[in-house]
Amino acid sequence: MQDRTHQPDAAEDAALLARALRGDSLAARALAARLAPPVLRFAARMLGGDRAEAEDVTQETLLRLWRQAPDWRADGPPVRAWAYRVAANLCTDRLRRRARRGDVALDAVTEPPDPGASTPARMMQATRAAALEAALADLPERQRQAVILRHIEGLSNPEIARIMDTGVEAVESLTARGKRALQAALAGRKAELGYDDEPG
Amino acid sequence: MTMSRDDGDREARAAGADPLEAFLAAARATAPEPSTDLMARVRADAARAAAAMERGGAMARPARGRIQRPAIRWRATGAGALAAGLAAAALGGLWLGLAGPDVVATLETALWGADPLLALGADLDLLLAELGTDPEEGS
Repeated sequence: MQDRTHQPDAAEDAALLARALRGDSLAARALAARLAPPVLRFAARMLGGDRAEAEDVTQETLLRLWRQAPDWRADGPPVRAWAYRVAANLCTDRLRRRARRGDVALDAVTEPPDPGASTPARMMQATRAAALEAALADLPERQRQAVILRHIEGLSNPEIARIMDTGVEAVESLTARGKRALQAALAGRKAELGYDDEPG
Repeated sequence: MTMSRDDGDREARAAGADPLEAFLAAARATAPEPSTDLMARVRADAARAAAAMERGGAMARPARGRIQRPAIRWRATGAGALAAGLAAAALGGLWLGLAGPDVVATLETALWGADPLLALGADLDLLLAELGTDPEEGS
Protein backbone atom coordinates (compact mmCIF):
# COMPACT_ATOMS: atom_id res chain seq x y z
CA MET A 1 0.00 0.00 0.00
CA GLN A 2 1.57 3.22 -1.10
CA ASP A 3 1.07 6.33 0.99
CA ARG A 4 -0.32 9.14 -1.05
CA THR A 5 0.38 11.92 1.42
CA HIS A 6 3.76 13.54 1.44
CA GLN A 7 5.57 15.94 3.69
CA PRO A 8 5.83 18.56 0.91
CA ASP A 9 2.02 18.63 0.83
CA ALA A 10 1.91 19.38 4.54
CA ALA A 11 4.61 22.02 4.19
CA GLU A 12 2.78 23.68 1.31
CA ASP A 13 -0.53 23.60 3.21
CA ALA A 14 1.17 25.24 6.17
CA ALA A 15 2.79 27.88 3.99
CA LEU A 16 -0.54 28.72 2.36
CA LEU A 17 -2.25 28.97 5.74
CA ALA A 18 0.49 31.26 7.03
CA ARG A 19 -0.01 33.56 4.03
CA ALA A 20 -3.80 33.42 4.44
CA LEU A 21 -3.39 34.51 8.07
CA ARG A 22 -1.68 37.64 6.78
CA GLY A 23 -4.70 38.36 4.59
CA ASP A 24 -3.49 36.78 1.34
CA SER A 25 -6.73 35.93 -0.41
CA LEU A 26 -5.06 33.98 -3.20
CA ALA A 27 -3.31 31.74 -0.69
CA ALA A 28 -6.52 31.18 1.25
CA ARG A 29 -8.38 30.24 -1.93
CA ALA A 30 -5.57 27.94 -3.01
CA LEU A 31 -5.58 26.17 0.36
CA ALA A 32 -9.36 25.72 0.19
CA ALA A 33 -9.02 24.28 -3.31
CA ARG A 34 -6.36 21.82 -2.10
CA LEU A 35 -8.29 20.64 0.94
CA ALA A 36 -11.84 20.44 -0.42
CA PRO A 37 -11.36 17.39 -2.72
CA PRO A 38 -9.83 15.01 -0.12
CA VAL A 39 -12.28 16.15 2.54
CA LEU A 40 -15.22 15.63 0.17
CA ARG A 41 -14.00 12.16 -0.83
CA PHE A 42 -13.57 11.16 2.78
CA ALA A 43 -16.94 12.59 3.87
CA ALA A 44 -18.81 11.02 0.95
CA ARG A 45 -17.45 7.60 1.85
CA MET A 46 -18.08 8.03 5.54
CA LEU A 47 -21.66 9.09 4.79
CA GLY A 48 -22.40 6.17 2.49
CA GLY A 49 -22.23 8.19 -0.72
CA ASP A 50 -24.58 11.01 0.27
CA ARG A 51 -23.00 13.68 -1.83
CA ALA A 52 -25.12 16.61 -0.66
CA GLU A 53 -24.31 15.91 2.96
CA ALA A 54 -20.66 15.37 2.08
CA GLU A 55 -20.55 18.79 0.42
CA ASP A 56 -22.08 20.36 3.53
CA VAL A 57 -19.46 18.66 5.68
CA THR A 58 -16.70 19.88 3.36
CA GLN A 59 -17.82 23.49 3.49
CA GLU A 60 -18.35 23.35 7.24
CA THR A 61 -14.90 21.81 7.77
CA LEU A 62 -13.25 24.64 5.89
CA LEU A 63 -15.33 27.25 7.71
CA ARG A 64 -14.09 25.82 10.99
CA LEU A 65 -10.55 25.93 9.66
CA TRP A 66 -10.90 29.65 8.97
CA ARG A 67 -12.51 30.34 12.31
CA GLN A 68 -9.69 28.60 14.15
CA ALA A 69 -6.92 29.73 11.83
CA PRO A 70 -5.85 32.69 14.00
CA ASP A 71 -5.04 30.19 16.78
CA TRP A 72 -3.16 27.85 14.47
CA ARG A 73 0.41 27.02 15.49
CA ALA A 74 3.13 25.96 13.13
CA ASP A 75 4.19 23.18 15.50
CA GLY A 76 0.64 21.85 15.79
CA PRO A 77 -0.98 19.10 13.71
CA PRO A 78 -0.68 19.36 9.93
CA VAL A 79 -3.53 21.35 8.38
CA ARG A 80 -4.74 18.39 6.34
CA ALA A 81 -4.83 16.04 9.31
CA TRP A 82 -6.72 18.67 11.26
CA ALA A 83 -9.24 18.98 8.39
CA TYR A 84 -9.77 15.21 8.23
CA ARG A 85 -10.33 15.14 11.97
CA VAL A 86 -12.94 17.90 11.87
CA ALA A 87 -14.64 16.23 8.91
CA ALA A 88 -14.68 12.91 10.76
CA ASN A 89 -16.35 14.53 13.76
CA LEU A 90 -18.93 16.23 11.55
CA CYS A 91 -19.67 12.93 9.81
CA THR A 92 -20.06 11.21 13.16
CA ASP A 93 -22.58 13.85 14.24
CA ARG A 94 -24.59 13.35 11.06
CA LEU A 95 -24.51 9.57 11.31
CA ARG A 96 -25.77 9.77 14.88
CA ARG A 97 -28.55 12.12 13.88
CA ARG A 98 -29.52 9.71 11.13
CA ALA A 99 -29.55 6.83 13.59
CA ARG A 100 -31.71 8.79 16.04
CA ARG A 101 -34.17 9.68 13.29
CA GLY A 102 -34.18 6.09 12.13
CA ASP A 103 -33.46 7.20 8.58
CA VAL A 104 -33.10 4.53 5.96
CA ALA A 105 -29.37 4.37 5.75
CA LEU A 106 -28.15 5.55 2.42
CA ASP A 107 -25.16 3.50 3.44
CA ALA A 108 -27.01 0.34 2.65
CA VAL A 109 -27.82 1.37 -0.87
CA THR A 110 -25.43 0.32 -3.55
CA GLU A 111 -25.53 3.00 -6.19
CA PRO A 112 -25.91 1.78 -9.73
CA PRO A 113 -22.89 2.24 -11.94
CA ASP A 114 -22.54 5.54 -13.72
CA PRO A 115 -24.37 5.26 -17.06
CA GLY A 116 -21.80 7.66 -18.48
CA ALA A 117 -19.19 4.99 -18.12
CA SER A 118 -18.44 4.32 -21.72
CA THR A 119 -16.70 0.98 -21.69
CA PRO A 120 -17.52 -2.34 -20.03
CA ALA A 121 -14.27 -2.07 -18.08
CA ARG A 122 -15.28 1.27 -16.65
CA MET A 123 -18.75 0.01 -15.84
CA MET A 124 -17.24 -2.95 -14.04
CA GLN A 125 -14.93 -0.64 -12.14
CA ALA A 126 -17.88 1.52 -11.09
CA THR A 127 -19.80 -1.56 -10.01
CA ARG A 128 -16.88 -2.79 -7.94
CA ALA A 129 -16.48 0.63 -6.35
CA ALA A 130 -20.18 0.70 -5.48
CA ALA A 131 -19.96 -2.79 -3.99
CA LEU A 132 -17.03 -1.70 -1.85
CA GLU A 133 -18.87 1.42 -0.75
CA ALA A 134 -21.88 -0.62 0.34
CA ALA A 135 -19.62 -3.00 2.27
CA LEU A 136 -17.80 -0.05 3.87
CA ALA A 137 -21.12 1.34 5.04
CA ASP A 138 -21.71 -1.80 7.08
CA LEU A 139 -18.42 -1.51 8.97
CA PRO A 140 -18.33 -0.04 12.46
CA GLU A 141 -17.62 3.66 12.14
CA ARG A 142 -14.03 3.64 13.46
CA GLN A 143 -13.06 0.71 11.23
CA ARG A 144 -14.64 2.45 8.26
CA GLN A 145 -12.76 5.64 9.00
CA ALA A 146 -9.44 3.85 9.37
CA VAL A 147 -9.89 1.78 6.19
CA ILE A 148 -10.89 4.81 4.12
CA LEU A 149 -7.96 6.89 5.32
CA ARG A 150 -5.42 4.08 5.00
CA HIS A 151 -6.47 2.11 1.96
CA ILE A 152 -8.36 4.65 -0.16
CA GLU A 153 -6.89 8.03 0.79
CA GLY A 154 -3.49 6.47 1.33
CA LEU A 155 -2.52 8.16 4.59
CA SER A 156 0.16 6.65 6.80
CA ASN A 157 -0.73 4.92 10.05
CA PRO A 158 0.85 7.67 12.21
CA GLU A 159 -1.16 10.30 10.31
CA ILE A 160 -4.35 8.30 10.84
CA ALA A 161 -3.53 7.83 14.51
CA ARG A 162 -3.27 11.58 14.87
CA ILE A 163 -6.55 12.16 13.05
CA MET A 164 -8.38 9.54 15.06
CA ASP A 165 -6.73 10.55 18.30
CA THR A 166 -5.45 7.08 18.98
CA GLY A 167 -2.28 5.03 18.76
CA VAL A 168 -0.65 3.54 15.69
CA GLU A 169 -1.27 0.00 16.95
CA ALA A 170 -4.95 0.75 17.36
CA VAL A 171 -5.06 2.02 13.78
CA GLU A 172 -3.37 -1.15 12.55
CA SER A 173 -5.91 -3.22 14.42
CA LEU A 174 -8.85 -1.19 13.09
CA THR A 175 -7.67 -1.43 9.49
CA ALA A 176 -6.92 -5.16 9.78
CA ARG A 177 -10.36 -5.92 11.22
CA GLY A 178 -11.98 -3.62 8.69
CA LYS A 179 -10.27 -5.34 5.78
CA ARG A 180 -11.23 -8.78 7.03
CA ALA A 181 -14.85 -7.69 7.31
CA LEU A 182 -14.76 -6.21 3.81
CA GLN A 183 -13.24 -9.37 2.36
CA ALA A 184 -15.94 -11.44 3.99
CA ALA A 185 -18.66 -9.13 2.71
CA LEU A 186 -17.33 -9.07 -0.83
CA ALA A 187 -16.28 -12.71 -1.11
CA GLY A 188 -19.67 -13.76 -2.34
CA ARG A 189 -19.72 -11.14 -5.05
CA LYS A 190 -16.46 -11.89 -6.83
CA ALA A 191 -18.04 -13.91 -9.59
CA GLU A 192 -20.76 -11.32 -10.07
CA LEU A 193 -18.11 -8.61 -10.26
CA GLY A 194 -16.03 -10.38 -12.85
CA TYR A 195 -13.05 -11.56 -10.81
CA ASP A 196 -13.43 -15.19 -11.77
CA ASP A 197 -12.41 -14.27 -15.31
CA GLU A 198 -9.19 -12.61 -14.22
CA PRO A 199 -5.93 -14.37 -13.62
CA GLY A 200 -5.33 -14.61 -9.90
CA MET B 1 -6.57 11.84 -8.04
CA THR B 2 -4.72 10.57 -11.08
CA MET B 3 -2.55 7.53 -11.05
CA SER B 4 0.48 6.93 -13.18
CA ARG B 5 0.83 3.78 -15.25
CA ASP B 6 3.33 2.49 -12.70
CA ASP B 7 0.78 3.03 -9.97
CA GLY B 8 -1.80 1.13 -12.00
CA ASP B 9 0.58 -1.76 -12.64
CA ARG B 10 1.54 -1.89 -8.99
CA GLU B 11 -2.07 -1.98 -7.96
CA ALA B 12 -2.90 -4.68 -10.50
CA ARG B 13 -0.10 -6.82 -9.06
CA ALA B 14 -1.31 -6.09 -5.56
CA ALA B 15 -4.81 -7.08 -6.60
CA GLY B 16 -3.50 -10.51 -7.46
CA ALA B 17 -2.08 -10.95 -3.99
CA ASP B 18 -4.88 -9.22 -2.13
CA PRO B 19 -8.37 -9.75 -3.55
CA LEU B 20 -9.67 -6.69 -1.72
CA GLU B 21 -7.09 -4.50 -3.39
CA ALA B 22 -8.98 -4.65 -6.70
CA PHE B 23 -12.07 -3.23 -5.01
CA LEU B 24 -10.03 -0.55 -3.28
CA ALA B 25 -8.35 0.36 -6.56
CA ALA B 26 -11.76 0.68 -8.20
CA ALA B 27 -12.91 2.95 -5.35
CA ARG B 28 -9.81 5.13 -5.72
CA ALA B 29 -10.35 5.40 -9.45
CA THR B 30 -13.98 6.47 -9.10
CA ALA B 31 -13.52 9.02 -6.32
CA PRO B 32 -16.17 11.71 -6.10
CA GLU B 33 -14.96 15.16 -7.12
CA PRO B 34 -16.26 18.43 -5.67
CA SER B 35 -18.88 20.22 -7.74
CA THR B 36 -18.13 23.58 -9.32
CA ASP B 37 -20.65 25.12 -6.95
CA LEU B 38 -18.93 23.71 -3.87
CA MET B 39 -15.54 24.90 -5.06
CA ALA B 40 -16.95 28.38 -5.69
CA ARG B 41 -18.40 28.45 -2.18
CA VAL B 42 -15.24 27.29 -0.40
CA ARG B 43 -13.13 29.75 -2.40
CA ALA B 44 -15.53 32.58 -1.55
CA ASP B 45 -15.41 31.60 2.13
CA ALA B 46 -11.61 31.53 1.94
CA ALA B 47 -11.44 35.00 0.39
CA ARG B 48 -13.74 36.38 3.07
CA ALA B 49 -11.72 34.69 5.79
CA ALA B 50 -8.48 36.17 4.46
CA ALA B 51 -10.03 39.63 4.37
CA ALA B 52 -11.27 39.20 7.94
CA MET B 53 -7.90 37.95 9.13
CA GLU B 54 -6.18 40.91 7.50
CA ARG B 55 -8.44 43.18 9.55
CA GLY B 56 -7.66 41.07 12.59
CA GLY B 57 -11.26 40.01 12.97
CA ALA B 58 -13.27 36.85 12.72
CA MET B 59 -15.05 35.63 9.65
CA ALA B 60 -18.67 36.73 9.55
CA ARG B 61 -20.74 34.60 7.21
CA PRO B 62 -20.26 31.58 4.94
CA ALA B 63 -20.81 31.77 1.21
CA ARG B 64 -24.38 31.22 0.17
CA GLY B 65 -25.13 27.58 -0.44
CA ARG B 66 -26.51 24.50 1.18
CA ILE B 67 -25.12 25.32 4.61
CA GLN B 68 -26.87 28.67 4.52
CA ARG B 69 -30.14 27.26 3.26
CA PRO B 70 -33.03 29.38 4.56
CA ALA B 71 -34.02 28.39 8.04
CA ILE B 72 -37.58 28.77 9.30
CA ARG B 73 -37.46 31.90 11.39
CA TRP B 74 -40.60 32.04 13.45
CA ARG B 75 -40.32 35.62 14.50
CA ALA B 76 -39.36 36.97 11.09
CA THR B 77 -42.20 35.25 9.24
CA GLY B 78 -44.91 36.13 11.79
CA ALA B 79 -45.45 32.45 12.32
CA GLY B 80 -44.45 32.94 15.96
CA ALA B 81 -47.53 35.06 16.63
CA LEU B 82 -49.72 32.55 14.82
CA ALA B 83 -48.28 29.69 16.85
CA ALA B 84 -48.81 31.62 20.10
CA GLY B 85 -52.44 32.33 19.13
CA LEU B 86 -53.09 28.70 18.31
CA ALA B 87 -51.52 27.60 21.57
CA ALA B 88 -53.69 30.05 23.55
CA ALA B 89 -56.84 28.88 21.77
CA ALA B 90 -55.94 25.26 22.42
CA LEU B 91 -55.34 25.94 26.12
CA GLY B 92 -58.64 27.86 26.32
CA GLY B 93 -60.51 24.96 24.75
CA LEU B 94 -58.85 22.52 27.09
CA TRP B 95 -59.80 24.66 30.09
CA LEU B 96 -63.44 24.92 28.96
CA GLY B 97 -63.58 21.18 28.50
CA LEU B 98 -62.15 20.47 31.92
CA ALA B 99 -64.04 23.20 33.77
CA GLY B 100 -67.52 21.74 33.26
CA PRO B 101 -70.89 23.32 32.45
CA ASP B 102 -71.16 25.56 35.56
CA VAL B 103 -68.11 27.59 34.70
CA VAL B 104 -69.16 27.76 31.06
CA ALA B 105 -72.60 29.07 32.09
CA THR B 106 -70.96 31.72 34.29
CA LEU B 107 -68.70 32.78 31.45
CA GLU B 108 -71.66 32.85 29.07
CA THR B 109 -73.64 35.11 31.40
CA ALA B 110 -70.70 37.42 31.78
CA LEU B 111 -70.36 37.73 28.03
CA TRP B 112 -73.96 37.77 26.85
CA GLY B 113 -76.13 38.59 29.86
CA ALA B 114 -78.62 36.37 31.71
CA ASP B 115 -80.07 34.76 28.60
CA PRO B 116 -77.92 34.92 25.55
CA LEU B 117 -80.81 34.18 23.21
CA LEU B 118 -82.89 36.96 24.72
CA ALA B 119 -79.95 39.34 24.55
CA LEU B 120 -79.40 38.47 20.93
CA GLY B 121 -83.14 38.87 20.24
CA ALA B 122 -83.19 42.30 21.94
CA ASP B 123 -80.28 43.43 19.81
CA LEU B 124 -82.08 42.18 16.71
CA ASP B 125 -85.30 44.05 17.69
CA LEU B 126 -83.36 47.25 18.12
CA LEU B 127 -81.71 46.84 14.77
CA LEU B 128 -84.98 46.11 12.97
CA ALA B 129 -86.69 49.05 14.70
CA GLU B 130 -83.96 51.34 13.47
CA LEU B 131 -84.53 50.01 9.97
CA GLY B 132 -88.31 50.65 10.33
CA THR B 133 -89.24 46.99 10.22
CA ASP B 134 -91.65 45.34 12.70
CA PRO B 135 -90.19 42.00 13.64
CA GLU B 136 -93.62 40.59 14.52
CA GLU B 137 -95.12 41.48 11.14
CA GLY B 138 -92.05 40.66 9.13
CA SER B 139 -92.34 43.76 6.89
